[in-house]
Amino acid sequence: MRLVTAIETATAWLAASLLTLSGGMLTYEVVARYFFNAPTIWAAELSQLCLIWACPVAMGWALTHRRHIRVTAVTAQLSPRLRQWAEVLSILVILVFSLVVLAYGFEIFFDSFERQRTTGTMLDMPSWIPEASVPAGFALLILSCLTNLWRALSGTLPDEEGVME
Amino acid sequence: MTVIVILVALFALLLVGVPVAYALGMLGLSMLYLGGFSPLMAPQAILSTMDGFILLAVPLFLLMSNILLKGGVGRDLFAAVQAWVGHWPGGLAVATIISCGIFAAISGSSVATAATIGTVAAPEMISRGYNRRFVYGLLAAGGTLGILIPPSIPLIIYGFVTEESVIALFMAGIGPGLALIALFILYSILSARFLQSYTPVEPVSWPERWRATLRAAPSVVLAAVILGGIYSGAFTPTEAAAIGFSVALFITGVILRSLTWAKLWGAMVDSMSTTVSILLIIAGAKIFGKAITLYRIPQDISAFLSDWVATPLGLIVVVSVVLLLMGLVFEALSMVLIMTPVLLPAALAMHFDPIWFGIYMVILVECALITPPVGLNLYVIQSVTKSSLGEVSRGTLPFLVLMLLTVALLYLWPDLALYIPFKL
Amino acid sequence: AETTMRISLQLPMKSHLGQNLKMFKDEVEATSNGDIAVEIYDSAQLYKDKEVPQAVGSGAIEAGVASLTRFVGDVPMVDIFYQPFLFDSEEKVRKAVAPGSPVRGPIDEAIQGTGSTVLWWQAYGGAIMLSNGGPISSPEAMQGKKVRVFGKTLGDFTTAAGGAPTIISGSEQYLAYQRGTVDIGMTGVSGVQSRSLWEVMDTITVTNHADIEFIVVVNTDWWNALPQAHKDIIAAAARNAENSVRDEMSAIEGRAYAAAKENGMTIYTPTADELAQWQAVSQPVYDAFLEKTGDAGKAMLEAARGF
Ligand code: NA
Ligand code: NA
Repeated sequence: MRLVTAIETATAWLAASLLTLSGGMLTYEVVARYFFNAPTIWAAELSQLCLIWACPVAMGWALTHRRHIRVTAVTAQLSPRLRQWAEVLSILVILVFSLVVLAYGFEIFFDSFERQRTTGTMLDMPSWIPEASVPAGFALLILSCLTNLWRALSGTLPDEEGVME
Repeated sequence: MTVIVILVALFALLLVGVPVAYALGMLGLSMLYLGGFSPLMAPQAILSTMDGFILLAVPLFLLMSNILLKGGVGRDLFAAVQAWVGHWPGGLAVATIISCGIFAAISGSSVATAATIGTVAAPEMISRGYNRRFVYGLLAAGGTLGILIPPSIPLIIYGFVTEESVIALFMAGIGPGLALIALFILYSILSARFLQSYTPVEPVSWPERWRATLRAAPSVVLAAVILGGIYSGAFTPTEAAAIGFSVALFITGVILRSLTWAKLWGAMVDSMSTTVSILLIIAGAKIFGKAITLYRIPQDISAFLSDWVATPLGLIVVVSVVLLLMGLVFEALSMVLIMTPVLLPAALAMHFDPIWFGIYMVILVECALITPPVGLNLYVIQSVTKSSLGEVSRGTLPFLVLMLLTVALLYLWPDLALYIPFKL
Repeated sequence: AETTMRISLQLPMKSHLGQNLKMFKDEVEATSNGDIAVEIYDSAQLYKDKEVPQAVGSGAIEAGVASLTRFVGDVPMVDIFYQPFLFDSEEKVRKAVAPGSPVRGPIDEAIQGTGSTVLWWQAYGGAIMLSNGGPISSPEAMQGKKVRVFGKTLGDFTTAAGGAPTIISGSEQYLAYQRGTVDIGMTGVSGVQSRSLWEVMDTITVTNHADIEFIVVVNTDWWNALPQAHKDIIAAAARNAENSVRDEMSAIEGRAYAAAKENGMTIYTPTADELAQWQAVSQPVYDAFLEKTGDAGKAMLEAARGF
């Protein structure tokens, strides 16, 4: 449990840093193109890579901290006991989804890895570098699902933190 | 029949409390499995979503507005606008709308706009004796300007889904956004004059005005730089977002000195959190979208609409009613994501412009944000003002009428949206 | 239907590639008496162009259309078609794309190794340059200019010619020209017509510096499992579709040029001297191609130069 919490915190830290980094790289790109007429070949692609890795790895953290957008109109009216079961059910749905996506996402990554496929873009990096984010992210999400399932079953549900859209 | 089963399953998943992203994803995955289609489509859809360059604008616009927010820009903005128009009839209400409009130009989200301006304007207006219901409605509705006036996250997503130009969509939002501001202001002045009593605000001295304006000026300049930069072609929407983020850092960190490391870190985590939940919903909707496309549901609905609805006016009336009803219970992004692939083919067949249709959809999504039971802006104002959902909802009613009036204007005069991007 | 063949297409049905798929669909469904159903998912409803190689190769969908260069990550040799000015006449293009030719043969074979089988090639025409206030007649006109490109090789060519390449998607093209985000554009001439680019650019330079090809691929496992009779029907219809679009291509381009002229565009064809200047600056692109593709690429390039 504590290990998973530590992993979640680390991924949140990583994701927030990656997204901020992409802002810095793209600013550099605009300055380079606009003022020095020298567009880079790496800024667009590397900042995209930041997004591709930031989102999946932080899914587990977002689940535990209840940052996902959900409809609470009905569950809020339920008795604590029913709410607990709704929570268990909801985590099971995410768990099944994650297992399937992990399996097939790994297949995509592994195929590109084995074939040494490249992206064919300006940087022409190996395709598995972006593709590995999906299996990695969903493996982390499964860990978080399991700890949250334990919390839900033992009746220690955290409060909604909600999310701003 | 299939459609009904799918809808029931979707509602069941959502109401049990499954996050929207996973509810859409799981439903799509089950449909793929049952229809004998490859589940590989699920991870492919997720990767394809994260790989959209235009969607990189989402975290960056969020970073920009969160940094400005933590740097206290909302308060400065409202103070400056109030210094100029506060003493007019209904002056505080007018100041609120104008502040919402300006903040909308630096934020891509309605909820952030409602929360930022609501926090400063609501106590002020209520203490001056404005009718509570009017205040709630004004703030909830004013906040929705955040997604019509560029930058706008729903417009970015519409552009991503339809492969239409996001720049054109941004430019097209300006006209209807200004029309809506004008209608809101007009209504506020009339309502203040004839329907409610309040304590007028004393005119502010000139030196005071200039001081307040100077403090708010950087963010207004930032908004102008972003819009001007996109419009002049100096940068793409994604790059504009990056520049906006850097300039926001500069304004709050160097000029105003209101940003601390802790606040910056808070802004980064908030932006990341919102980005993750938004992009996951897009990915989930993409899986669901592939599944319904393979079941040929959008194609059937489009054929059904063109068989049964003969005229463009008929189509818009039917679609508006459907979207308004859907907007009662659906959250804004899911609406754009689920309904665009279903409705756009029918609209294109009737020769509606895809950019025009995007703006039209966004105004109806704005309506969804202020209609109960599920309306994010209602929740925001409810929590900011510690009032009941019912009271906030009743307050939004006149504004809902004004928004539908804007839809009618847009239908009668498409150039309200299309003039700026294509004819200016 | 016993067999359903779903095809993913990035472009809308009204594009000439969409119409070509429609022709294929009609023939297959008629000759198979409805035993084979062909479903076309146009406008990237299911997959974007760049996702097609992976989607079809993995069997997530039966078939798809993608620009040939989308396979460059698996098969670097496909970039032969983007080698500057290598296939600058219809005659050379026809020799290169003939089934089994020393250029197309090895490409089809290599794509086989990605889990996809090539059904047919769809002609899209040559790449041209768009500009305002005068043609891009020689590399000199490109010095220091920002250029919209699609793909890495065209970007390398632009750099070699002294320009600054920027990748801009098809949908943002119009506004990028209108607002001056870039000064020069590269596209196929049919794109000028479908996107009304004459509203924002006034000159076409007919460089034909690259040949744009699309290919229709099917998943190999799916294909191998089909009954022979179905394979025959599909292959025959594919051949007809391929010949039809190849034969129509010059007429399609001719109509696009006529429409561009009618809408006020100047159409400039570089002189032999100017073409020689372009070719002279292109050498680094050829060198990079040879370095990536080795002996196979060298043999292909030599064969192509002999056309
Ligand atoms: Na906005
Ligand atoms: Na609503």
